[in-house]
Amino acid sequence: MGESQTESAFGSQLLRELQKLNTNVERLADMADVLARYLAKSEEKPGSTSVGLDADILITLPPHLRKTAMTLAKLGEATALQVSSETGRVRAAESERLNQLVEMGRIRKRRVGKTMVFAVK
Amino acid sequence: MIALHSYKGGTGKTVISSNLAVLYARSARKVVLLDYDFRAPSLHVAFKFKPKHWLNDFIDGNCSIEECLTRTSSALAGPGELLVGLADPSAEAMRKIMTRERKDETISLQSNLRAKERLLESLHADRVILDTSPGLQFSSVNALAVADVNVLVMKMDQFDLEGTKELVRGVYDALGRRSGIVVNRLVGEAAYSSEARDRLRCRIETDYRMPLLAVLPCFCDVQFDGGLSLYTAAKPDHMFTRALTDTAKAIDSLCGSDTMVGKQSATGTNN
Repeated sequence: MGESQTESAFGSQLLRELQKLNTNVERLADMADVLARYLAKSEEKPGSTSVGLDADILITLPPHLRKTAMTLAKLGEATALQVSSETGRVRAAESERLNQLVEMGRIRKRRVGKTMVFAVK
Repeated sequence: MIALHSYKGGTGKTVISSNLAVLYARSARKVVLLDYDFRAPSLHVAFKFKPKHWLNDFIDGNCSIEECLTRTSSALAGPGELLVGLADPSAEAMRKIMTRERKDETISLQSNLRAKERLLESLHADRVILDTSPGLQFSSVNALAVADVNVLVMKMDQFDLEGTKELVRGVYDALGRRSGIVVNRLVGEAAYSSEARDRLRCRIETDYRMPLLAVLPCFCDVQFDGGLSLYTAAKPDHMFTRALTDTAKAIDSLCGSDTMVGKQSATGTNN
């Protein structure tokens, strides 16, 4: 075999090896993505972000939070004052309960002007 | 709003809920009866109509609760009004229920709370009765959480006795709603002897820490009828109808209202 043919064969083989290497790197990248998502999920606080307020969560809530949670579930979105109007309980106490539910990851809140509005996830 | 529930299937929940609804309607009440057993719908067998919208359409957010209701005939409802909402019994619908995502259940809870308000306050129903799935299903727990009163139907077999204890401990105690037990299909001395019944009451109320509302003896003709007849309409003098009338009075008492059976409509608390 002449020198140029040897070089050509070598070049083809090199190209094939590089293509194989590229495919393996892509596979490794996919596996790394899957692993990263798995690790992210397992590092979540238990019951924190993915589940909002459903019947199963309601059962696990302490009684003083359950009434607040059910009221917000009915209203969908409300201020502490609106929740307290429904429950008949003091606004400040409802505000504290709503913030506890936010901490637990069951509901979310956002500021609208000077007011905090709470909503079911 | 009254939710009828049980630990196991086959306790007679659907027969009780459908006949109870008819009983209230025939006492000149406005009643809404909803089939909340989306995994094994049954009320369509007793009421024999195909609605414009199934309750499945409501929980999917495709229609209002009112659009799911069908008014039954006056021959059935008597001087009152009975509106029935049915769950879709097709296999496709039941498969769709199986694959619902958790976030859909959050939306369901909210929809149920708003529906309760619409039925009791806008539609002015005197009674809303939910016939639920047995055991722990999302639709059942939603119903138990939303209802004012929960009626736990059980039979006196060991499977039911043990399982119901767990249900009470894990769900009913946690939800803290007004609840009571109806023992159905009772055979033996306690079905007919007041002394034996008192002993049964003591046992139930000690073991489950909730009142025994009623005891319904086992009636073979009712059982083998398979839910095809509504006894409270077709056989008003049958012993089952009379026993169910006592059951309704006990439920009314648990609701905190005057009894709604056997009397004309009066101003009072809607449940």
